[in-house]
Amino acid sequence: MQQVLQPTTADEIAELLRSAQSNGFTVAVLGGRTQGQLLSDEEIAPHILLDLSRMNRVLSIEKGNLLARVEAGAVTAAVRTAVAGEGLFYPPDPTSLDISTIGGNIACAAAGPHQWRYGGTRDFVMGLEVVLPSGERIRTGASMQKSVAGYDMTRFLIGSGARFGVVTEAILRLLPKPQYREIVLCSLPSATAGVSAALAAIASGMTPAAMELLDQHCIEVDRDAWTALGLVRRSTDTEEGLLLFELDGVETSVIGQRTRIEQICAQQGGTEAVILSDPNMGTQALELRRRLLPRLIAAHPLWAMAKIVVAPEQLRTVWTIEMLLVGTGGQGSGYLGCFAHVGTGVLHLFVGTDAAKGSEEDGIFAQARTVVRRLREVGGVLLGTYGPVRHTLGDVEATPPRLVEVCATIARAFDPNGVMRP
Amino acid sequence: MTLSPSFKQKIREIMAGGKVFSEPGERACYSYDATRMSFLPDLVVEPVSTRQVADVVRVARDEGVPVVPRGAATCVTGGPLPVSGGIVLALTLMNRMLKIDPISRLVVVESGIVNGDLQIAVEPYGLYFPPDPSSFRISTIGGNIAECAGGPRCLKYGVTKDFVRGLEVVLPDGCIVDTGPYGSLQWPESSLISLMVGSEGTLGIVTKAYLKLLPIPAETRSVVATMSTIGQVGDVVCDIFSAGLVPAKLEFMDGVAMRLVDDVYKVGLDREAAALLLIEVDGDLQGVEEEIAQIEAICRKTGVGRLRIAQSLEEAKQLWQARSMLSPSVSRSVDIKVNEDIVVPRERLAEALQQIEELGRRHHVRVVTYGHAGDGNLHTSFLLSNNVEQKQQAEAALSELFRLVLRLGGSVTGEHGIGLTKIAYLAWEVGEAGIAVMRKVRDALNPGMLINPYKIFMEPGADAIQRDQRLT
Repeated sequence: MQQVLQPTTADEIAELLRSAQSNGFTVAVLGGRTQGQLLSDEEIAPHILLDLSRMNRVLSIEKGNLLARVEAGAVTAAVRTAVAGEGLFYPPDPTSLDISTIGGNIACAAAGPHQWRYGGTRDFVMGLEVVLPSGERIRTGASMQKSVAGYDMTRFLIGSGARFGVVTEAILRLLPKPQYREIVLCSLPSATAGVSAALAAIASGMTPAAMELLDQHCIEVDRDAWTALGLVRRSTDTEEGLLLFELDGVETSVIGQRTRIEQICAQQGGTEAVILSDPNMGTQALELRRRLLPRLIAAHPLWAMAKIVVAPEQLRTVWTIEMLLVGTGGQGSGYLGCFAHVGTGVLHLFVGTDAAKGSEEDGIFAQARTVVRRLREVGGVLLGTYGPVRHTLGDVEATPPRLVEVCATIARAFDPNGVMRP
Repeated sequence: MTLSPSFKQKIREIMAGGKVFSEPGERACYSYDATRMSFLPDLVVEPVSTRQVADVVRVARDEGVPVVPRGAATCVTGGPLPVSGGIVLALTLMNRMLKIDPISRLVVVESGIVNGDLQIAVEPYGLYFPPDPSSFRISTIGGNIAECAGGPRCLKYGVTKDFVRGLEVVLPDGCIVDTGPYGSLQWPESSLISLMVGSEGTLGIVTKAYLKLLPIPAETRSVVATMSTIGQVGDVVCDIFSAGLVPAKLEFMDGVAMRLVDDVYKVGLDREAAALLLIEVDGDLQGVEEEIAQIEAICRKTGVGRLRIAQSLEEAKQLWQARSMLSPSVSRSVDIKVNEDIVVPRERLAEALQQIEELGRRHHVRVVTYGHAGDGNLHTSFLLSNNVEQKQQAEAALSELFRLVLRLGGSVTGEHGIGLTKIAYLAWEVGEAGIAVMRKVRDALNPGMLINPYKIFMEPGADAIQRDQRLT
């Protein structure tokens, strides 16, 4: 019989875990349930689900120290808004940030478009308060960026789910809010032209705060909204690529960066760039980008997504293959689209079909599998698969066995009775 | 400890192609680090491959012989010292650049490569590796990783842990784990990497590193401001961040440091000043001109004394020389220098500086403070005469310094690590519960403590064991 509990303090959680120890219960932790949306519940259900949504406060913002102390259940978007009010900036921007929590971000080492220039959750958490599986409470890290007193237990815990304990509070590193920001949208003749433009920006020594690529299938999901922002399509060709750049810094620097990007995109045959210097318009563009995945999921009940990392030059490989195969199989019987964070080489391949008409046997899933295989052949690593039919995409890279053993040994040291569910 | 002839033979066979040193004179060359303490190893090996490292570690573990990894030994906390003897495993011959990928902004290196050599190798590609500890001309990447080295540039760009994308590590059982260049994007690889960086060689031996590089900024601009009060330092730092700016470097020297540098090098520093602030911005041309103008305005508004903006790269180098002359000036003026590297929250900087000055007076110890004002990482040094009384006073002052720092919410070490010298203070900072958690990790990865023993944590019998091996 599963119970969902909503503690309001770390002491309550400590009490719960002590009780779980003595009674042989198992415990899992819920954040904004955005990962749950992506994965399906295959694992054995735990006895207790700890829902931290009532522990959602921003406890303090220390402007001079460039830090914020937050409870683990605080929604990431709320934290970003709160610190922005003080002229500060929390860079990690997982696309789920409107719903996901800091604790959830920490559990998954979440990152978003800012990862290349700024980093992700791992780079902006300086310290944690944790309840260990035994019920003991500890602090890790410090309230400053630089501290090497012993092992980096903070970063060790980030990405490890709730295996080693429950994070109740985090000390977040902040930056001063950049003085000026622009979002620049460029429509290019193809996704591969978009890759070339982005590579040219990298080669010129630029490091935009975000550099996102969407192929034509992704643009179609919200065609009207992109057009409303000013995006002009080059022609009625089926091929198209959208590059979204986020540029920040002092105003003169941003304008200089934007000018270089306009030149680079023009060289790749792009249409006139859309410059969104109004903060609200810029925010709209970023929100539009963020809602791509939720909209794809909503439109395709039978879906899978692969997250793959390749060297940025190899991104061209995606659309070459897809273009070939789309011609033969057609997308009338399903959807296959790709969007990427060009700087890090991380791409998301989304495949889906209408459950009423389709099945996982459909050709579209085989096409997706082929793309995944070809990317791995050029050195790509499959980082994760998501969705109800994710098994159609292939297996994620196996962890080296010795490393699995090491983790198990550490987990046993922290949690000998196996109370915590990952 | 005595190593049996058969054990030494096994090691020699493994080390074919690499180097083995067994003569006492040779071994003495691997007994020290920058603390001037030294402990004699029983054998020294310099492998040329990861395979050799792994095999030595495995064979040594089977015999219960400790292995102590070593880079260039610029460590100031005793990290590479073989306090219980055993084998020193020096990575110096494994110093190759394996791959540079400019578009991925990635470099792959063997861990024995010198930081400065890495910088030279990637410069033609318009790239650089931001962590710039002052030892960069000598220290190795492996050493930088072991200590999570920082440097002045880390205010804007981060420290070593922010630049490690992947590692190849030999674990204490001799197993090799290579995360590849995407290790930091995967779990549990990212957690292993996080443990390795800053673990001071106690969890395994890093043999290869996949490092992130950044494009060399197109332009830099520097300004040097002389402050008449310590309070102005805090004000200027605060105001710069409030304006939305993050300088590449924000370094500071107190009045004592300024006078010391001026004594030795006669560069015309203001001898009545309370502090000197050296600020550098970097980026594109438009950006740096705008930023330095804003910073100049902030300094003037705070009422600083002299303000000098470098008009050229040459002039910038001259201005920054005062900072690099600091350490040698200090060393030349005293018998013994005890150099600490504390961190305090930015908002407590001025308070910390005032209290440090006071505690120096109370304990009759000369104190000088300089360092990275932007991130609150201060190098506070005690300047001592070489006598017993001064050493005792310094010890008392040190304890008080750490208590002060922790009371202000800071850390006892920002860059140098715990090593041997700060073992007693780790518990003050992380508490017994924190230590217990770290020990769990060490015992899981390094059972029996055979890789780099007696570092970071207090162990029973440590004093007696160290007495046996100690040379100085």
